[in-house]
Amino acid sequence: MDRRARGLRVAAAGTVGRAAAAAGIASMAAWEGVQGRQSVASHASILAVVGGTLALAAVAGRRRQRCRTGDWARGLLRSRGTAPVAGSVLWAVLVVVTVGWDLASFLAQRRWLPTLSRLIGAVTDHPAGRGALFACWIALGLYLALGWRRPRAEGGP
Amino acid sequence: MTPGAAVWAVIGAGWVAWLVVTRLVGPLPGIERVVRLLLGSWLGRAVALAAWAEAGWHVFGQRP
Repeated sequence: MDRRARGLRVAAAGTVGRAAAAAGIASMAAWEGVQGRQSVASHASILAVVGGTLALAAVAGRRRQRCRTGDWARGLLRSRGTAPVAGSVLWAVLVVVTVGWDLASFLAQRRWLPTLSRLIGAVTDHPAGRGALFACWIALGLYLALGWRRPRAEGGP
Repeated sequence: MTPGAAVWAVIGAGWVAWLVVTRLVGPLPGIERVVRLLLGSWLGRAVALAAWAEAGWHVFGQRP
């Protein structure tokens, strides 16, 4: 009974925490939406989000990484069968094509060759688009900092 | 649509098509597996966070 009550309390605290985080992200995104791209306030808020997320990754993720970098790198080199390898190669091709075309468009500096950031700029020029994309960016950062961790009790590298 | 924008549309369609294919074909690694693979070690996580930070600074703080 005691264990069940503790479990319920932990679940409730998690729900409240997630709701508070969502409300915080939404209000920050609404504020960021009306900031100019070159404003000091905008730069300060971006740096604050980056700094806070990196600190969160270091503190909350301490001893909760799934494997050591050396083991991870050796695991990458281990054969996993044809389909996973071919699939991974295609992911890499998509990334290389995207980055390569963006770089080529940037170097060409032609109006008819827009870079990816110019396309995204069409969205972030509007306060709603900028705010929504900022919220997505913060959410992605939180996932990259806290996601796919070892459960707290297990410990780890 | 400019030629450059058309190329972006093709690249975008390629991403969507590959996302759908990996979801439908079991043995192919989907986006979740790729991200989890990256987040499996501190090095991969650090690289992902650095790319995320740089992308945010560029998109929200610089003129595209």
